[in-house]
Amino acid sequence: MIADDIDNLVKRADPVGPTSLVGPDSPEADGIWERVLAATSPGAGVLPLPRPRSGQARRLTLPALGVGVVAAVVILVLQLLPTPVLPASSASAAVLRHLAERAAAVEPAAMLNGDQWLQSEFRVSYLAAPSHEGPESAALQAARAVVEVDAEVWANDLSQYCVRQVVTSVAYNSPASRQAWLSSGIGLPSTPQPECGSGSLRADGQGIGTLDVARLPTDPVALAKALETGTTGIAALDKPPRSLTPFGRAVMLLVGPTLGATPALWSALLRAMATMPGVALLGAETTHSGATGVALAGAAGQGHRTTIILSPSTGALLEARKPVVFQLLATLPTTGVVAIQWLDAAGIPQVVDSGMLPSSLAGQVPTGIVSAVTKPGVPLSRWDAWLRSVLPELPGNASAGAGITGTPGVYSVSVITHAPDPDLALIMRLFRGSGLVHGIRSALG
Amino acid sequence: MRADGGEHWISGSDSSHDSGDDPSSRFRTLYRSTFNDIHAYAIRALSPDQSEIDDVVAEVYLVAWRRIDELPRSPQDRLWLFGVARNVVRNTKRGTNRRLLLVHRIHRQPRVPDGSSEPTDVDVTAALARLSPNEREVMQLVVWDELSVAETAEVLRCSVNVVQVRLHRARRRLKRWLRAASWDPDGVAAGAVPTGEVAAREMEAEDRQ
Repeated sequence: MIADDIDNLVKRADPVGPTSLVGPDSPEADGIWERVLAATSPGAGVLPLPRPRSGQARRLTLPALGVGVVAAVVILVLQLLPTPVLPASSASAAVLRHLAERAAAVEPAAMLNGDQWLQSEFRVSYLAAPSHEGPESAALQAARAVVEVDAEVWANDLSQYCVRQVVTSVAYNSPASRQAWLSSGIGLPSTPQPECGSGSLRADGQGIGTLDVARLPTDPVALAKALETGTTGIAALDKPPRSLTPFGRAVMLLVGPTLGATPALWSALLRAMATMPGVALLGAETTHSGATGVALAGAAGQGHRTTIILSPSTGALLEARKPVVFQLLATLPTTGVVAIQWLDAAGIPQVVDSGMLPSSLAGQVPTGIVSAVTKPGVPLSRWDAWLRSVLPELPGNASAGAGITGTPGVYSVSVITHAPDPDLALIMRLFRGSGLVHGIRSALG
Repeated sequence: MRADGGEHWISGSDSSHDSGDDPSSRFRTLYRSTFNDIHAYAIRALSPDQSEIDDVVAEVYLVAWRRIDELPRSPQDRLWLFGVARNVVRNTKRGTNRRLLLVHRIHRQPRVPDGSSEPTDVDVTAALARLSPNEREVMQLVVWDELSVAETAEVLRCSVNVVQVRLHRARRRLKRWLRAASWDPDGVAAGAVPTGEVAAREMEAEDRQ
């Protein structure tokens, strides 16, 4: 035997065989690509998420044992499918429809009255960079930190919010980065003072606050259309700073915090998501808080790929990985947020009275609100001009906010005062005198 | 905010052009052009255990993405990926004896006489398994992955001379063992392809020659 003979014998024993059936367009390649894509969305380059594991049937796998309820849900759904190897979109749609049924059966959330707040908690991990104007050293440019925050958010039905956050950990990508960050004079990410404000301050959707979802349709088809076309009537969804896919908009809603949501809406949202193309079922996943749920992934916009983990029993969001959300960024304790790595909804939102808000928020919690609806055709620019003229006259560090309504050209506007003994009658008189609004209402904080 | 600067993000759409210096496009192109090779390498390196193949391939490309700035230009990028795959496979196999156990099973399989004097695939697989890891790796990269000697040296980060020596020894040993197997139709079961200990002793003796 000569060397060629040996090589030929060895070649013949190649376990791949002479012609590979797996190509770059094969399902195997697609499946692996999706996994790579899911793990390399923004932020993962520094701290990658746990690599999802696959079994025999691409994304239709159930890697975790001992997560009975999750596995049962997914197995049940998969068993209902006509074949074991369906496109992921079919499997994800089946799971979402199943979860929609669960969501519809959830107890409705309590409605807020005038002096009540919706309290929600979340944990978030995000990639931060020092935001710096002017020349930057190479070390400062390369500086990154992964910041973990426990946050509490209170919101009322007048678009007000309060936020209290605790930075639980900061991990810099190198000691040099930390030093550069520190030397630049930019504050290191640290626990900020609690703050309150008014949501929907800007009509372009940027800023923070709650998402008022009370007017969203509960018909899945109509909701899917609104999410697709960006006509939900919620500025943060319709006019985000960066483009969003329908899936990205749905994730924003799931992340919240929202006001006015009903089980029917959550059910409709999940059914609407079931119609969105490109949503892949990843199987059972465990969140950073230790909960186990059903993971799905989809494109959220501008190349971002978001993974969501939903509760198998209620369909509620347990965790969002690399979500594109704008309603939270402004509250995070650094100005240089590169990307949110993951966000866990911690606990179920609860309705609390004003007296339950933490004492550290004293002086910041609004003491009175006057809200109104603008007359049709009054542009926001006129409202802004009017505000600039009257706000300085008001006591108690007054602020104002505006948001769009379900009627084009009609805005919801409000003035908030923090004065200990607010003169709401004065504010109402000013509103009426402006000639810009009607349907005025007021509330004491 | 630096959300759109300084970090590389892979575009989820296929609309981007697969060329130029954009990391996302470059990565996509790399994936499409090398997937077959890396996938096949993983199958071969992990064979017959199929359970880790997707994990290994995904991990290889995750490493590539994280180090996209260090990635050499084509065609060296393909070899770089082989090097990464080699490390990932090594980590995956570390601590397990699955491959050895399977080789053991193959070794104990009785050979079915087919009237041919040609070594069977089982003979060849068993013989390959008895090579030293370095020699087996060189043989597989050259014959199965069809890398040249120079490319193999680059993947293994060693000299061309070392690859040539290992390749020569591997062929010589395979030739002897497979000839023995073909001469004796019952050779595999009877030990014509030597067990690990015997093979090690033989290799030591050969290397002393």
